Amino acid sequence: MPTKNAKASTPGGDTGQTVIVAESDIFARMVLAQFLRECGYEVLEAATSEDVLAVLRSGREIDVLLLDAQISGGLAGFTLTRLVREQFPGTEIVLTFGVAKSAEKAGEICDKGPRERPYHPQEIVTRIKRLRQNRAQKP
Amino acid sequence: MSALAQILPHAGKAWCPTILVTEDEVLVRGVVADHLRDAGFAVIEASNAAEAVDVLQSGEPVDLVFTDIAMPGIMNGAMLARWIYLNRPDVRVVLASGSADSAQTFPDGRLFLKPYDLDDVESHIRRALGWA
Repeated sequence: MPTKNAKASTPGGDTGQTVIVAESDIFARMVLAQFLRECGYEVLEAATSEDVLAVLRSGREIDVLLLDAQISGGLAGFTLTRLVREQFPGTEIVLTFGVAKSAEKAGEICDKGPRERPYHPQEIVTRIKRLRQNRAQKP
Repeated sequence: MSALAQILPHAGKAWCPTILVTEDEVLVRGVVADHLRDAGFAVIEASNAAEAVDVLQSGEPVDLVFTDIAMPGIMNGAMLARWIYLNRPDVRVVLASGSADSAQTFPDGRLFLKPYDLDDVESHIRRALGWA
């Protein structure tokens, strides 16, 4: 593990809250995480169900888990949800299916924070689609 | 736009370099990304080389890739570095590894051996980008 230096950010960002964005699609994860950071949340990014558990088991206090039900890894989304609910009851689980739902839920999470949303949640979907289209055009 | 801003693309506006941190271990990735964000960089996180290539081909601006060498998947960090050299020579690469053997393979580039000091990584990235 790299050594963390002395000037650490305030845990929980502006809102004092930490969110895990759990999403296996790189573009969805990237855009959702950036959106929620701009809303003032501290955001951790998980690409697999193993990532989610590793973060929770590290002892880090996680307020919200924004979880795509189709996340890849050893545990399927629903099984992971049950496990998190049992072992980490302090973490609110927001389970989504598809980017449109994830964007909508990210908007709701943002609305609960003190910072105004940087743009309309629908824009999240547009941005993800644009990134995917650009990528699809490359060899 | 002023004449100076046309010559020097970053003059007159706050240019924020974007670092793509590529690392499969989520806790390491998070700590590195956090540190670089605190240092003022914009940071994108990728969990493997394939995701890094996806980001690099998506049109999302990236100035430097900080990547671990050993990662699961078809490509490892060394292959990613080679891909970047061939396809995106404008993007700088800094490598990290848990094995000293890798240092033999990359005699010219800077290789950070784990556990690396994040201040050292930050300083090196700043120098590589010419960004105070």
